[in-house]
Amino acid sequence: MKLLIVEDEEELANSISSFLSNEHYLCEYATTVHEAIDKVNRYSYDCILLDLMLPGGSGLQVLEELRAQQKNDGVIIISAKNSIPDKIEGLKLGADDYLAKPFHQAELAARIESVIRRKQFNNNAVFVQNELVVNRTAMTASVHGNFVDLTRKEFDLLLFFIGNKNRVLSKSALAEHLSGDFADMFDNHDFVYAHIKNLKRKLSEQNYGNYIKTIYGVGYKWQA
Amino acid sequence: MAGLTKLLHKPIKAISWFAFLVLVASIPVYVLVTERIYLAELDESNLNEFKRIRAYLIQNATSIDELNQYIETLNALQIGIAIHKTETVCTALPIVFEQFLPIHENNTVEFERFRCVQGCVDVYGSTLEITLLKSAEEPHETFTAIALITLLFFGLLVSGILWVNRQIAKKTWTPFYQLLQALQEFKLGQQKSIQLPHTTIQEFHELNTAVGALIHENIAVFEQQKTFIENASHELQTPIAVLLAKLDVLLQNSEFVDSNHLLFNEIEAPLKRLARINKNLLLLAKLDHQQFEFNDTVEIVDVGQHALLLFDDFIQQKKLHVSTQLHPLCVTQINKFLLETLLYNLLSNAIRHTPNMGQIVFESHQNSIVVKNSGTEALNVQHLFERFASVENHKVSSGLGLAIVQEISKTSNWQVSYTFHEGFHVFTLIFK
Repeated sequence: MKLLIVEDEEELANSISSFLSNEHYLCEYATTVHEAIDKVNRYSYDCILLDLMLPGGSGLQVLEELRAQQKNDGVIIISAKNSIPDKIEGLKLGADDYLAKPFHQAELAARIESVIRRKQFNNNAVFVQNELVVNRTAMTASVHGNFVDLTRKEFDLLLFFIGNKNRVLSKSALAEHLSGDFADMFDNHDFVYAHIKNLKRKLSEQNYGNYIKTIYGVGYKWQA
Repeated sequence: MAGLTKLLHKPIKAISWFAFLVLVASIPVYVLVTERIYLAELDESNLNEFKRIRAYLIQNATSIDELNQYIETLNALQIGIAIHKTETVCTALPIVFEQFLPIHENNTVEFERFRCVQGCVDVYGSTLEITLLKSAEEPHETFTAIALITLLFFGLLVSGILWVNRQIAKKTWTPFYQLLQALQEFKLGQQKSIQLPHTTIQEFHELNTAVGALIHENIAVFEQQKTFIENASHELQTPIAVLLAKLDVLLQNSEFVDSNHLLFNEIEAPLKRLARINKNLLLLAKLDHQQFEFNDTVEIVDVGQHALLLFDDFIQQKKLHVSTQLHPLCVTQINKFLLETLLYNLLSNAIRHTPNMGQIVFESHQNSIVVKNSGTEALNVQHLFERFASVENHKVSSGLGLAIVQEISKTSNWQVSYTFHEGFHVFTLIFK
């Protein structure tokens, strides 16, 4: 998958690229509106990460350009502003998602995966890993053909893991994925452990491949 | 207010005193001048009479016997003429003088003042000395009349001054009082500049200009400060985002993480807190700037229930007991984001500060909501809603949660209050 990171803050762009780059994702950069529009005109990307505050204008201009060219690149707006009017404007202009800085990279990764899936695979929602089959639309999971009864939160966690294969997810990232923005208003995120414990238990009962690994002291990883 | 006199009373006191002194001083002056004129008139009258008599005697006395007759008659008439023969030589000019003579009246003797002219005339070889007298008794009534009239005029003057003063005050000082009121009503930060009253008076115009410039400057500085805070926290967002992003990358380094998992957590926690504080600062700056629209209609019950669901994990973790009393409450003309932020802040605050197995209550009434949580001691209301006033939990608290609650209330025109009642911390929010 080709990703375009439109961000004028170099270090941030580098971090995102480091986190995302693997055998599946290839990252390109643009640091100005002009550069972004230029790249977008020449290539097609699976997902564009778009900062709004850029030298030379606003990221929204890139969106307008995409619209004018009738391109189907996925767009996730990443913005420091967290302004509702901007969010509405962006979504109206065709952005697929909006994530306010600062964010957990894992959250961004999950959203990218979600956008790409929606745009390209028509939300064809089935994920398969060996004996594990997860149906996103039906919200079901089965191991060796046996249905696993998961709660909403456990299912959410499962999807989050799948969207971040082979990446270490911190407890904080997991908590925020489940509880949204206000998760870090609380000091105790142990409930994450509880949910994951239950998830592992239910999957293990059906003998899944033990993909959820505990990274001692910091979080978890889905090892594929 | 003790020690301060009203502006318009000050000149009146001074003027009144001045008028009083002037008028009092005028009384003796009047008296003296009147007397002077009066005496001068008497003297002139005497003198004229003397000339007439002299002329008459010279012309009409045809013999010494006739002359003596005239003299006898005139003396006997007692009309203020005394003529007698003298031996001295007649000097040409008559003299003017004053005399006090006893007057008998009703068995009493009083000395009265007389204005006299004494002259001589040569007739038939005799020198006649003619003395004319006129009573110069200043009647007491004159003095009294003058004093009374003066007082009357003093009264008229002062009343007139008061009346004129009031009329002037009504018109002339109006712009000043209007400006005074406008200044008293002006509140920095309410986005309304001061309305300067119209005036044709130069000094007030200058005052208006000066005050207007001062206020304008004040507002500009205030706006600059708000913008500065907003810009500053805005600038901070990016390096914070970079730090967190790098941390996420570092997390993927198994070599580092395996031997430094404690350190990793010790870096992440304060960094997340920094992010939260900055985010709150940004929100507060925006609230200061009044950058929100109020077009949403929201059912409070929905938001409340959603919040409780969202925080369910945290509630379960502390084994808190949640009870609700939900009366449908639909609020209009509000900003949904602000309402949610406020409610989430109140609820998360309540959850955080309730001891394990404590109680949380969420109520919605006809025009208000109440968030209660069990507690032991009342909080100090005075600084409760201030920014950074009390930062108890250094791990998580941003010190701004309740400040945000208050600012959102202010911006949205709601009322938020706190009491401690029967073992519960009670936060009440009243809409409009």
